Amino acid sequence: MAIAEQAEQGIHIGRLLHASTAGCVVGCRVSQSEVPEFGALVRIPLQKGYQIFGLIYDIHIEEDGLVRQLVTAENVPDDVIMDNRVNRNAPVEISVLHVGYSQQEKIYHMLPPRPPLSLDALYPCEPVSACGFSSAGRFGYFRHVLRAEDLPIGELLAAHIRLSNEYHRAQGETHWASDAVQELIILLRDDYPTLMAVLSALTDAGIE
Amino acid sequence: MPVNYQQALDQIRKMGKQAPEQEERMKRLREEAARLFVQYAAELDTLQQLVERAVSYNAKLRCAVPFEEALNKTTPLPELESSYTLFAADGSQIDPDRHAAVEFGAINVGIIRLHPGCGETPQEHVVSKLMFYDELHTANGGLLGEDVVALMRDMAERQELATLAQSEEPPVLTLTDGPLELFREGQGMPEFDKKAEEYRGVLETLADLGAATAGYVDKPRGDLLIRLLELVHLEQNDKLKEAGKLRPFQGISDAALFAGLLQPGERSAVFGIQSTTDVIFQGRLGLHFFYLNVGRAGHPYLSRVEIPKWVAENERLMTLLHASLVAQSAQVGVRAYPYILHRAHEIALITYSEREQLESMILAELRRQGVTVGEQSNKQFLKERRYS
Repeated sequence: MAIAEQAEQGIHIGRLLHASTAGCVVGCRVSQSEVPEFGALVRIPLQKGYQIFGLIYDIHIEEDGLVRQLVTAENVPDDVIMDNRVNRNAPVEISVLHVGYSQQEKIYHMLPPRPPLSLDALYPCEPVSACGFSSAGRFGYFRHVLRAEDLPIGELLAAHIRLSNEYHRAQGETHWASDAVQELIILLRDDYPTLMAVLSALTDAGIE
Repeated sequence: MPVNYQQALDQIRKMGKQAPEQEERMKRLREEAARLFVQYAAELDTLQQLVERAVSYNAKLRCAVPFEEALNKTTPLPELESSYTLFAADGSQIDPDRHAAVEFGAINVGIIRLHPGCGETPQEHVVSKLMFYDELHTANGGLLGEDVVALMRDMAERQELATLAQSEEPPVLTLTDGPLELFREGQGMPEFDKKAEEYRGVLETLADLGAATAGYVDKPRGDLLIRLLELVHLEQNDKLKEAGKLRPFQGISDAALFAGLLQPGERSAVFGIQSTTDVIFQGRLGLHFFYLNVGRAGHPYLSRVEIPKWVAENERLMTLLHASLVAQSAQVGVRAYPYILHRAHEIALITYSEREQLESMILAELRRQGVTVGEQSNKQFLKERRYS
């Protein structure tokens, strides 16, 4: 069964609000406990055999006038909290950086040829799929992160490597994190400030 | 052309010069009204008889009628019972517009159901009803006006509430925004009379269920109690025959009497309503009201709550209504207003873009059917292109 078809059987996180080739923003309800972490790999299955992979680089919760008013109340009952999280039209916005795609189960660490469309569903990458993507090739998807100067590159890479390392270790792959760090050192050898920021964040994440 | 600010400024300054004198006059009237309020607080029979005499002079008289409690009685905030179901409904409407490309109307009713304290996520319901062709016209062939559509909307809100309340375990509270006393205008018109009959049916259903129903009036300007005190004033001056026509306390609202009387969370006495709508709201449907201070210490904020007689006579429902309205109002912080009513409004609201979307859908369907579609009037076209 194709990866995209498998994903469609899972529980999606949210649906696409807007997108470009480089990234997309997905809306989801606040109540969903399965909101993935910052730095996690996600995927957007499209037509048969084609799906886009991305990294979550921002999770944004919009306020509105009523919420601003509710926070001034002494006590906010549980039913009011649930009403605002489940019923009211103020989704959590998840920003995703596209880092690759797969076509007929072959993974490419390149920008997707076509962006996803409105209301396409976003799914979390299960450990097998995350490991499959991150160990394909030679960390080519890091360059999409390093190119995104407006993002907190060090924090994003550290969070991603920490999460992915757990998946790889669970599968007996103990060298994945050190290989990833070595690759980053090579990629950033001419950019000392960014390299220091990335290595510092990796140290904080417990990746030496 | 913009406003002629020079002319406006002259008028504003003239108004400003009158303001201190006006304020002093209102203060005197408030003090006189407050004096009568205290003096006659326990004279319920006297006041009821006074209203009856006044009605004999003016059948269209409108004022408060004492019910069972002294006029200045206050009831402290009671404890809220732990399990009950609360519904609120609100509506919005699209009036048929002869200037639009297609004539249609719409009524959108938003309802929210809470079961406080039970850990359930509140449930939303939306009922959208579009009106076309014959539904858009009154009995005499005219296009439905804003007031008739508003009445249909009010009715739809209450019908949905009555329907949903039937499947709930008591106690059940149903809330709507604004007075329960519909039909003050337009009595005698066929559309209104038909709707009045339907409204009676809805209220009877809620009464049979034993559900509390209430209309919540935020920032009330009502003066029914003031009008009652005016009758006392008129009688003292031997002018009762002018009841309802002479207004010695005109400009004073009931809220002025209660702002200093009701502590946060307290409600006033319950009053009946003398009105020409008595013919619609008879027996257990008879309309009553009370004032409620949903504000904070030092910042009183009054609302007026209209209830039918079956609620006014039921101590448990009164207690539940009182406590739940205060609790609901506290949920939005310093701008006290029942949370559930605000949410019903949010659910019901038809935005301008939604209206445009509906119009586009209707036009598309007509074109699909090969029917000639109209176009927007030139007047409307030009209006939408005016400079701001």
